[in-house]
Amino acid sequence: MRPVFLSHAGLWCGAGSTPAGVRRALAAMDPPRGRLDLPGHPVPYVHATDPARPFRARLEEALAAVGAALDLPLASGTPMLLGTSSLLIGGSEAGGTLPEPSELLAIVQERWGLQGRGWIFSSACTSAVHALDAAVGLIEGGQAEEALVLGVELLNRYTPAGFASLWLLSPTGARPLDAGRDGLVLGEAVAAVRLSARSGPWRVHPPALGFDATSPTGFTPDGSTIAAVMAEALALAGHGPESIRAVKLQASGAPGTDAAEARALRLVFPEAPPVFSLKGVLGHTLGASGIAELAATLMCLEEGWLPPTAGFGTEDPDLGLCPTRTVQPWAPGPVLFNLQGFGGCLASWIVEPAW
Amino acid sequence: MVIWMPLGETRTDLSRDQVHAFVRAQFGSGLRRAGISAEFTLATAAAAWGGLHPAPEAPCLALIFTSRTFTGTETAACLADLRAGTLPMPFQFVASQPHLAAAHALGLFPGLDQVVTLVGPAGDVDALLPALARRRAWTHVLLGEVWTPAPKSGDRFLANWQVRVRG
Repeated sequence: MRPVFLSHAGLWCGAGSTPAGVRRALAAMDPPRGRLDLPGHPVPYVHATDPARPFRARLEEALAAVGAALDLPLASGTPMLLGTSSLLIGGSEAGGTLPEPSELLAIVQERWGLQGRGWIFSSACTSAVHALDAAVGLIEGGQAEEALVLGVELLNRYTPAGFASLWLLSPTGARPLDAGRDGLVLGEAVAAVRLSARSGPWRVHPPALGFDATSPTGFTPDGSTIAAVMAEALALAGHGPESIRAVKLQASGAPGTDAAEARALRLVFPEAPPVFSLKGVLGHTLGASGIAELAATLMCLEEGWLPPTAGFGTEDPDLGLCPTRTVQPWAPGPVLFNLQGFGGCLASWIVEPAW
Repeated sequence: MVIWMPLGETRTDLSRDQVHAFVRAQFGSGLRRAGISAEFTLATAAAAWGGLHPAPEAPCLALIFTSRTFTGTETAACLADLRAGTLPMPFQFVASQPHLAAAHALGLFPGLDQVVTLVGPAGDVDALLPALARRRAWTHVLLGEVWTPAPKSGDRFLANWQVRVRG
C-alpha cells in the first residue's frame, strides 16, 4: 500500500476560521460564549458565526473559509468523502421538507469545482473518520491520487435537543477529564483536509476502526475496547507506544466515556505521553469532529506546540490523568488521535510529520 | 485489488404493520430500544444473511446505505416537539438516528465486527468497497440499502440486501 499524505487543512468553527484565529483561541482557552435556549435546558453552545445567520448563509460562509485553505482547485474528478451526523437538518427545522443528502454533496461540489464521486458517512461522532478511512483507502489502493475529506456539522436545534433529552449536555461547560465534568457542550464546524499520494507535510496512517455495542451512548467502562483500537492504530502505523509524542483525546466532559478513555490510555501506554482535548474550546462538533480536531491540532503542531485542555482544572483521582494545562512544546513525532461515537464506533489513527 | 462477488440478493417491501410482524418472525420479539427503522434494517439484514450465507460466524463488514428520510417519521416527531416548545422524547431521538441500528447489529451477527453507515444511494459502492474493506480479514460484506418512499407518513419500508464474498 502506498503512503498517504495530508497537504492542506481548513477549518471553520467556534475557535475561528483561519489558522491564526484557531491557534489564538486554543492557546488562550477561549470558553464557549454562545448558548442555546432549548426547552427547559438552556445550554452552552459553540457557534462559529452569528447564531442569527440563516442556515444556508452559514454553510456558504463555512465553505468559503475552508475552501480558502485547501489550495483549490483540485482535479475535477477528485473524490469527496464527507462525514456528518445532521446533514442539512438545520435548514429544515422551520418546517420545510427534509433535504436529500445529495443536496449537501451538490452544494459543496459546485462551490469547489468538483465533479467526481462523493459519499456521505453518518455514524455520529465518527462520521468524518469513516470518511477519512475510505479516502485513505482510495489513495492507498491507487483508486485516487487525491481525495477531499470533509466534516460538516452546522447549527441546528434538533441534535442538541436530542442530546438534552438524554441528559448528556452540561449546563455550564465542557470540562474534559475534570473531576467535576458533567456533560458535553456541542459546537458547529466545517472542516476539510486534502489527502494525496504525493508527498506532503503530514503522513496520515490508516485509521483503526472498532465497535463497542455496550450501549447506544457509552462504551465498555474498563477501556479495553478503546485500547484495542488504539493498539491497532499503532500497529497500522508501525509505531510502538514509546514513539507517540502526544494523544489528541476524544475526552468531551462526559463522565463515563472520559473515564473509559483514560483507562484505555493506561492499558496502552506504560508511560502516557502528553494528552489533550480540544472540546473545551471547539465544543463537540459531532460528525465533523474527526476532521475538525485533526485540522485544529495540525494548526498548532505547525508552530511546534500542543494546545492546553480548556475546561480542565481538577484532576479526577479515579482517572489519574492530567491533560495539558498550558501550551506545551511538541517534540516532533507521531500524534495519536482518538474518537468514539454514539452507536459504538471507535476510531484511532496516527498522523506524523513527513519532513 | 480484491473483488467482492455477489452471493445473492434479497428485496423486501413492507407496510409499517407488516414490519412489526416481520421483526417478530425474525427475532421472536421486537428489539428493545430500537425504533422501527432500526428494527426493519436489522430484521431484513438478518433474513438476507440467514438466507444467503451458510457460515453465520464468518468475519463480516456491514455497509448500510440509508437516508435521513428513512427515519423521517421519527425525525418529524422530534422537530414537531421542538416547535411545540418541548424536548423530543429520548427514544424518539434515538430512533431517528439510522446509524444506531449498528449498535444492535453486533449482537445479532456473530461474525460482524464493523458497521459503516452511509447516507445516499448505494450505486457507487463498487468504487468504494475495496477501500473500505481493504485491511481486515473479512470474508464477507453485508451490503444494504434501506429506505422509505413516503418519508412524511413512513408507511412503507424497503430494503435491498446483498451478501458478497471475497473473491
